[in-house]
Amino acid sequence: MRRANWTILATGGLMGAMWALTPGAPARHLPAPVAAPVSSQGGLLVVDLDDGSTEADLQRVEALLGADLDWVHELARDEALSQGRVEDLAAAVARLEGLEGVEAVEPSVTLQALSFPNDPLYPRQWHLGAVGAPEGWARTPKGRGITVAVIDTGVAKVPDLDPERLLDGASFVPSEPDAIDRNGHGTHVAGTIAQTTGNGLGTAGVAPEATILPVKVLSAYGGGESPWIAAGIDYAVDQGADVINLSLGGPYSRVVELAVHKARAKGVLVIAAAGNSGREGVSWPGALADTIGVAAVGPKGTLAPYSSWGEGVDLAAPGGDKSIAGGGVLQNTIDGAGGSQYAELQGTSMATPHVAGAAAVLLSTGLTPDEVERAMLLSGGQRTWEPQLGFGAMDLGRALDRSQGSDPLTRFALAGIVALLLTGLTRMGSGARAVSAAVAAVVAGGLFFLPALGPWTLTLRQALLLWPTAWVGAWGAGFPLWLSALGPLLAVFVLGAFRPGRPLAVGFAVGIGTHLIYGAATGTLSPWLMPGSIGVAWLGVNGALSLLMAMALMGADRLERGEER
Amino acid sequence: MIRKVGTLRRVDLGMGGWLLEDDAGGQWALHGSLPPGLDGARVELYGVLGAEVSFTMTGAPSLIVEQVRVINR
Repeated sequence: MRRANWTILATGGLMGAMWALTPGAPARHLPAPVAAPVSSQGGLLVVDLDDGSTEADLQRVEALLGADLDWVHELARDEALSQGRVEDLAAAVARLEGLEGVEAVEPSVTLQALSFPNDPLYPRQWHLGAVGAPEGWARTPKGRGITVAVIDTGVAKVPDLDPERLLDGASFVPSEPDAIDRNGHGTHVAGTIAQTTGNGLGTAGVAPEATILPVKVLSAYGGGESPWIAAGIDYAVDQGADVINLSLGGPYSRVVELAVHKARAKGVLVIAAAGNSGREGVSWPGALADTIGVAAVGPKGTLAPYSSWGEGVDLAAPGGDKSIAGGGVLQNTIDGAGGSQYAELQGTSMATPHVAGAAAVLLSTGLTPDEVERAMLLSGGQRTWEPQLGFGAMDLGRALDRSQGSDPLTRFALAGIVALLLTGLTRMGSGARAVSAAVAAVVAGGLFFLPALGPWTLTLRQALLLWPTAWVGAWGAGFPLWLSALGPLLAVFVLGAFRPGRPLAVGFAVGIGTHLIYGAATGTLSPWLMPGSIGVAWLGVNGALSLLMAMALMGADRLERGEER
Repeated sequence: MIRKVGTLRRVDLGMGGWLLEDDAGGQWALHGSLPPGLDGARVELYGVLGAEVSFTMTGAPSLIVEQVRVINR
């Protein structure tokens, strides 16, 4: 077969593998329908007549039943669905079942929206729906096994916060020796993150299975000093916090910056408020490079009037807008008189824990902190940053879609299939040459699956693949030259100059090319400054170029070997 | 210690906070214990400048209140 045909075959195989391996509709397992038992008591009967049935047909059925029936709704009149009250449901069903002109007859059953928790105040928590919390409840362990440090005024033991998931914590406020909240702010923040959900009481939280670590750095009147905050962050990291929530802000502090930097370097995600000045200029530590700065949106999804904005804002989340009735963020907190209350509050303080809770939910699915940060930043639906909302409003459902689209096993399998296609079918060589090309392809494409193996791979990944992140943070993974055919080009020219290196160069180019094309197809890769289809085109073209370079080098290698023979 | 005269404003952010609009047109985020019911009151206030971090995050410089005298409500 000619070389061009092999190219087509390999590319076709690549596309087929992507189609087959991309998470799509899984094989469905459906239960057999079981009809509810029909009682002999009175009730609402539903009679579905043949489509297009007339008023005369309905009257014939009414005569048989000895009861009045009405069409369910004029807008569904063509469905000929009718209903009416009867004194004996079982007898009515028996009389009409199987009758010509009747498609179905059954007692009306009450259906409930299963996706909503039974917390009675949940319908007033518009903010949980806005951030996509129900998606997290339905699709994840809801933050189980993840500890979120609430660095704030402390956290009080209120009825709607599970005491088993509330640690003792510590206080760094000299005048207040314990971490018990005497203001209410920290307790409200903790509620947004992990309010007990589905307990038939009060309100729900974003990550109801997460554990809360209270760290008091703000006194009862809501203020604190920078050394208290820095020490609180260090303490939270030492206690094993996975996420730190900082619903606080003020002037820049070098010691706070260092504490945040150390936390982030240890894999702790630090989420911080943008501030409440209502002007451009994000407060510190929200503006730090190592924090995810959160602006606030109201119920309409637009920037809340009090929210700070500008450089340093990474995401927006619901912070409430009390100028709109019911527009605050509703959670359980203390009432200042020794009891508890459900209070509507507003502020970027309230927006921040929505993101911290979302981070806990995402971490509980097994993603690494870098992957979580990336998925969250992509979840706002804006590939380019803008000063008011950063990368957009946090959407947990979209973040889950993004992260699941980057399924590491899929990428690994894809790289393996392509490696086999290219080394086997094109007779790159035999024995050690074929194996080395295959290994190189799997490594280059498959190294991107390393995060799934745990944090211990971090050093290896940073050394080999994520080198831009060492310079510019996790977002550096979107550096356009990194997401290009530049690496394969260098490999082909440097390694390809020597025959023993060619299989490695071919494999490397195939692996990177696979990675780029997969990223373009699934939206899991986003080059900097390339919104929408431009980014997809960049990835696709560079991926294809990488594969073509691999094919060209193979062809040259075969020609050279053929001439020698 | 510095002295400021101006109007107290309750800010509805988080659990609530206090802002002083002084007679020179400046704004100060107040920290410390203030008696309730002073929203809109004209006060004479003594305090020290603070580099405080808080949950109100209004962007105004911090003043840690040591003494407050209500001029009129």
